[in-house]
Amino acid sequence: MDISLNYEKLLLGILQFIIIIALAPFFAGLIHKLKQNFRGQKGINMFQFYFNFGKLLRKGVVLSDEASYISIISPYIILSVYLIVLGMMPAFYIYSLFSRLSDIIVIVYTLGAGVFFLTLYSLDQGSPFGGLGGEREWFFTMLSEPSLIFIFITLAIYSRKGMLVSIFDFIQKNALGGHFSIAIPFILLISLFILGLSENARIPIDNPETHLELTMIHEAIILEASGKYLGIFEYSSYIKLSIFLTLMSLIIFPYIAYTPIDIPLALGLYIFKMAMFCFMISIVESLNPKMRLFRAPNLLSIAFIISLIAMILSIRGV
Amino acid sequence: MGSGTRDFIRYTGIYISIGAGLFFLFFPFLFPLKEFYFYTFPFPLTFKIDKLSVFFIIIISLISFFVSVFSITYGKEYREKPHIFLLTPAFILSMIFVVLSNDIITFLIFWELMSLSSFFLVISEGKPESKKAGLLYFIMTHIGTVFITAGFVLLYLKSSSLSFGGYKNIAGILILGLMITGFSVKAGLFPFHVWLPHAHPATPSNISAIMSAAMVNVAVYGVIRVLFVFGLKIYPFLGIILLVFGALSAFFGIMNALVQTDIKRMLAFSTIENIGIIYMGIGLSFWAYSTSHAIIGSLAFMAALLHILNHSLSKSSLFMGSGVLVKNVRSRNMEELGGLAKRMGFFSVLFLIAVMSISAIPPLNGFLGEWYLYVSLVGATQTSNLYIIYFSIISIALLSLTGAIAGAAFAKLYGITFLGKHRSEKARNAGKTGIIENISIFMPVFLCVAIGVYPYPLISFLNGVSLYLSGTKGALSNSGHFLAVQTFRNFSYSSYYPLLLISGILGLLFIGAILIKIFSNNSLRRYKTWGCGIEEENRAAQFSGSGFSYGIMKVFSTFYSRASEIKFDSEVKKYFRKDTFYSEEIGDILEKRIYDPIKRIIVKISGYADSIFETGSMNLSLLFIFLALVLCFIIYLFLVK
Amino acid sequence: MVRLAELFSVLILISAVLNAGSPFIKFGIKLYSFQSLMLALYTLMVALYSNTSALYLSFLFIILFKVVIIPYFLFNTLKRVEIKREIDLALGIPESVLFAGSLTLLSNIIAERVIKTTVTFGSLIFTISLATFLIGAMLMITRKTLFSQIIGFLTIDNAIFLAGNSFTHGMPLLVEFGVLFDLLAAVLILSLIIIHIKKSSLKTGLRS
Repeated sequence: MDISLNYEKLLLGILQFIIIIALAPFFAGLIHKLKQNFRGQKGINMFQFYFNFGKLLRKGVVLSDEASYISIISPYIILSVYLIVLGMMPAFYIYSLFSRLSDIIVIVYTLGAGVFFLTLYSLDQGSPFGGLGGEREWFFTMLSEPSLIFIFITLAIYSRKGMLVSIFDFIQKNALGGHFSIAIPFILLISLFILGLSENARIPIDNPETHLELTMIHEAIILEASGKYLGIFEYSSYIKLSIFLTLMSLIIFPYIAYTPIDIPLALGLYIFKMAMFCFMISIVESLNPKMRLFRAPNLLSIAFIISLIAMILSIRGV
Repeated sequence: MGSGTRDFIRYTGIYISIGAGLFFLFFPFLFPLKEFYFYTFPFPLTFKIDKLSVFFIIIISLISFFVSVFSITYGKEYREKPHIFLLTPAFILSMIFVVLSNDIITFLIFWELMSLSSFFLVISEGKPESKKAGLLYFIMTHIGTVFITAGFVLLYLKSSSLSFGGYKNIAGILILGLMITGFSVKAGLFPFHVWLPHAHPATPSNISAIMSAAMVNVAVYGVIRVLFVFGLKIYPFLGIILLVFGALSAFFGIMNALVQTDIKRMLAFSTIENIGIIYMGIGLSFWAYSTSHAIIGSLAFMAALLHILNHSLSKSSLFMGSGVLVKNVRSRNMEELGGLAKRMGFFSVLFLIAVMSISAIPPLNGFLGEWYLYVSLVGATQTSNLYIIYFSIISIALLSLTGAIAGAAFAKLYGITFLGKHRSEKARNAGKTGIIENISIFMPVFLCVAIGVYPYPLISFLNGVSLYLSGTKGALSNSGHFLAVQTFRNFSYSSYYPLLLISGILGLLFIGAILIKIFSNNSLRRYKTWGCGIEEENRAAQFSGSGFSYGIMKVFSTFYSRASEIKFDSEVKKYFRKDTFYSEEIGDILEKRIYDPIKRIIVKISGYADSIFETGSMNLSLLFIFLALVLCFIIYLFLVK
Repeated sequence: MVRLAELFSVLILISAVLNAGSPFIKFGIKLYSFQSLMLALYTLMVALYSNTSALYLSFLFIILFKVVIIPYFLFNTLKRVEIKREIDLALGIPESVLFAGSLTLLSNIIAERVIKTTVTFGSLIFTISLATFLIGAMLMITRKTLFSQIIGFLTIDNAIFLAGNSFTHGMPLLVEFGVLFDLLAAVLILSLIIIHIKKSSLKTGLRS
């Protein structure tokens, strides 16, 4: 695939980037809304998280006495790291803004950089809860990192491409012709779904809604954050969710526009697919209780073995 | 000796090492000699410069230079022991001459000099534990030397030449096995690593920086020289063995590094991890050359070379950083540090960058080597050989696990040491860092960033090394300012644009910060950290270092030998205890399960032998020496035929 | 069609892995039912592909026996003895899942060694059936309650069915029928044994 850019592609890439950034809180809000509806509650406005973000920006910041420069820079670093990964995704237009960077290993390690700064932030204020969250965050990252690498490498081996953009380009071009296996994307999707739950602090692993110190993970890390910093952290978590959902939506059925004319259809399909995954996540979250911390390796080891099977299949060249 | 003399000796030693470092840094460029000799009695010492030794000389002299500059002020800590600074230049020079030497005798002489000088440096602190560590190091390194010497003797018998020039592509599997075992002991690969975590904490920090960042590389140099120059490239399984041991070493090293609370011990385990990653590259590359997959071979070789350099740079700066901590806080224990980022601003930023570099955070250099390794492993899964496919899958899994745990371990190191509240009075009263220390740490850290962001000149230099050794280039275009590799025929290019990545991240950071600055309320208030509404200030309530690794440790509990104990006054009621003591001891499981039993068996056997033969008798001892000599002659007869 | 068959065969393996990863017996029986459904669908695909009428019948029989009747019996028995989950595992859950993964790797090596020519839907089926077989055997060895052992046994049976169907384009119908009835009888007898043990364990304290 040719990834050389011209002005039109660059402009459309920026447009796509801005659209998916803007949509990120919507999907998080949708999951929340659907969950509340399942419980029989009236539920929040679907766009509530935009208002929350705006409100947090308007509030002043309270910084801990112990906070060093890490507390000030790491929210921005985490946001930009997740943004750059989101910018690599060809969500509905193939020439994404950072399509040149979308090497599979780079993506995984860039996400790792986000976790690194998140945990540094958690330790910065000398709070007893922050470190607790940081420890658990690394615990889950460590368990899910091999599966994530395996998922990406499986995609790479299967399509014999090294970049995410060309991988999905290949899948889209070959999916209709019947040259593409159904089995591999399907089981990759199962594995990625489990990983998405664990990486985005979703219910069987973590509950983002409670503030009980003994159980929370992501919330414990950002417990000391306030004002705009809290807003940035929240937005970063929506973006991370968006990254995983976009990956899933691309694996299950890539419909990516190559020309500006196709964009409206592709965008509509993208939102539809994302909404479907939001629906699935809300079902899983409503039906399951939060897992005990040391039972989570069971689930994540299953995700790992499933991605391993997918990798074997892809090497055999199904 | 008066204090003036001691200072004079110290400064002389330091300036000699700085001079030696600078001289040999530019030596390959100033004197483009090919071979040169020193005529000494009874053998002439011969030396040769080729591209491989140039690479290693540059690393060793660079690290020595940084560390020697660092020693100018740090050396005041060891004012009473000036001999350390006289031994240091000897140590540095012997390392450089090992890399340069071109025949067996020269190599072994300088190898032994290197081992001895480093042994004296290890025991130089004079504490009981450093003597114990030194003895362990001495024994292990000489076991290694025995293997290397045996390998050299066999090489000599095979080619009847003492010079390395006569050994091209003749070493069989026995020689390769012996010599690689010997070098691996020195490098601290997985089953032979026990001396490393004891030696580093016992050594002065500047010396451990040289030992970890330079001396270990000399052993790796030996492995590369033996495998790729002397070795016959017909043993693919040897490459797979090295790959597997490298992966195990990486995993085992970082697992142990995670749970340490002693900074230098943790860094020592991290050295084991990085040596493992280097061995993975070397092993995969040897496999690929043996089965004529030249592209994968050169990629994996590139990964190994890059990782050697990156590890040296970041590890030397981390060890120097630990020296600064020891000097200013008087503690190596993470649980006694904390809150230093506010007291040592610039130094803490340097340390953060070094930590990020060694845990392979993308735009920095540590990631570069791992990226090449991943790409070559993915390429190896595309070959038709079944075994390499499975072992590369396992290696990918272990490597990614290692990467994640390395992130955790170094986040712990930085977070517990520099962030949060001070964990003891020592940390509260920490001194400021000196400017020379900051400069000497800044140099390797700057190189870390520079190589990470703009690696192209380095890559083309390393391509030259790879071309020299194996005749193939790394198959990468570095013309268009990106790194692209094609691992297999049908595999399209994987590419990595470090400049674009860093500028993208910085650009987004900048735009985001400006937008948020414009649209947000910028008032800022400082207040206490929330402590559940309790007013009492308790610095022990913050998260501890051993707690930070607890979850991972529990999941992988089979890899540790761990004993913890809680002590309290038994008379007091359960919820009203005044003092509770928690003690935890986490040991290296290999040491506990394998090395300790072996040690006990040897002690027992020698005790028996002592009681049976009564070695007090002179005649009996002579008889044993005589018998050993005769045995050697017989073995020689069988070997030579 | 071939692609769909692949998907179903892979799902058979995955349900076996999931079975290794869960200590819950009810879930295990459901998974077995699901696995048999996948086997049936796979058989249907083979039937459509090779147009063998015997395979259509085999599809129906699998649906009838393996998807409906045997799980029904097992559920019935479960209701009577009231065991919820496997207690006291010989091998922890993550370990056994990782073990299942390495068994898959092993069986892939063996399959590549054994199969030189392509079989119906590629040599992949042999890998999957061998891996499922080994995981079933592992379940029988490492689990301590009789229920999980029965599930392991049934998994092995499914694996053999899968291999047989793909290699022979359908066994003779009579043989298949006989095997299915044998299986049913085995499950019935085992259920009786379980109930019996449960009753006697009230007296002796044995675990069913």
